[in-house]
Amino acid sequence: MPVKDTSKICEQELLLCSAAASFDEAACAQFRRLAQRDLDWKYVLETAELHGLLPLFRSRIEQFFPGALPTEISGQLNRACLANAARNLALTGELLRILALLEAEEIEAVPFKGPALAEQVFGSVAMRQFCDLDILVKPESVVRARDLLASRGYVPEFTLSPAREAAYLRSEHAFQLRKPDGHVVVELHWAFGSKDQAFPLRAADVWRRLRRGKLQGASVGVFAPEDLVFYLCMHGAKHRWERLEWVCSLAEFIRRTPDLDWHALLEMASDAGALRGVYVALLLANDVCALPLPASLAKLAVADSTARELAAKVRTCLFEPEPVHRTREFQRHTFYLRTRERLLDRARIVWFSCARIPHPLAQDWELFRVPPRMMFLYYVLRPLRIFRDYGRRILQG
Amino acid sequence: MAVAFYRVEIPMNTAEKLDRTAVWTPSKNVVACDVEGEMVLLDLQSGTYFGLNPVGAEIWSQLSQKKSVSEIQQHLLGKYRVTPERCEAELQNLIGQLSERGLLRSGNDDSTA
Repeated sequence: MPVKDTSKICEQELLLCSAAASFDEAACAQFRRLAQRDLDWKYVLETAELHGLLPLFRSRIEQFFPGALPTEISGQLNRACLANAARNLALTGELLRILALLEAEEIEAVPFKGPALAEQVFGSVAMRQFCDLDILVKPESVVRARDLLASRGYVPEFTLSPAREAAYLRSEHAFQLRKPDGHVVVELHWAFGSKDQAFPLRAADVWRRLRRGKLQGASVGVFAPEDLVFYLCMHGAKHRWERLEWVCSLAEFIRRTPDLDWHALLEMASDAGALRGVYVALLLANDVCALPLPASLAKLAVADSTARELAAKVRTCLFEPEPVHRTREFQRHTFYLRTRERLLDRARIVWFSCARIPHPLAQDWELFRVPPRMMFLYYVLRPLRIFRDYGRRILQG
Repeated sequence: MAVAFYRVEIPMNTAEKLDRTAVWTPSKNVVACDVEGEMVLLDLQSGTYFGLNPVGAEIWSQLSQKKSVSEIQQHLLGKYRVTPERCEAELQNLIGQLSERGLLRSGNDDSTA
């Protein structure tokens, strides 16, 4: 169990302060008070970077306490933010090129996360830190889209036999491709989560409710606000809300969308059995980013004791050292499982996590080499491997 | 990608007069973002980055909204303490420099350049 580093409380408080979606006088004063202390600025910048918070942190410093940082740290922060802006602009240019390419081949595509979210939420692609480009395409077009990008120099993450590709398309949600120089990674999504995540937002519904918006002045498809909020809530849950920036983006988008249809959002989440995931997200946005919630909604969220417990757990773990990969994956999975309120959904998630044709990069392929026509054996072999890796922890609850 | 970063300064001399009713818009080959009040531009064709100071950023934002030269001038006069002559001269200079570098296109020009 990693030990929480209590010696950096002020630094962490300052970062939490900069994550706020709205500032009253007391919050500004608190920010200034903290920024005036003799802080470990190296830790502040490194942690802000880990949480994708550098641009927002710089913005808050400029806004509330310009000149607060030691010159060297201020220079470091400015250079990092400028480099981030330059990289994001290059990625945005590449995204627009890809969208034009897909459009020319009559492949419908919607950019989400990355530059699209940054511009939609903060009004500038420089305000988020991202490293890949996420594009939603329809399931029937995804292979064509992948082949098109491959013909333009992108290298797919792996090449699969027809049988394995068919299995992959059934159980996964995205193809990853990268430019040979490694600078651009594109994820072509046809769904929002793999089968074992039973992601509650269906791509077909997002397509049906799609709207038009702008990215760098170009007309692009954008998610309906309720879909975007629901997506951000469950994407955060999928990753155990490990980055502060995810909470900030959600809170800021809600703050900027006063006509958000809360009723439609809750109905959608309830129908999908992911109301608890939404409650956790809203409790976090309220607690971490001081996002005001409608009273009736706050009451519902607070009444869910598991949601409260999960949100508190995220808050406590925000600045803990990152655990080793296997432990992190396990923690993420159990957290995500608990954000789903229906037993049937949880059972589906557990079942598909164990009994499935493994992801092409999963270690199962190396551990058990079976001929292609015997691929069904993985439905037995994979649960055995998972039990070997996680059995003790599962049995211990 | 190698980063070349040029700061576009606004010289004081008055360049060739531009049509005040003209509309100039960002080229389709340019992407831009606000970084703490300044504007960073990337010319996707050449891979060159440009920086605009806060006043330049304000002008870029107005150009993006398809405002005419005259409308932008009125906006600047309302926002900054500057004489109409100097405002016009600086505005025209900046537009001249940006269009010379292919970062702006005339509102009547539908080409992608």
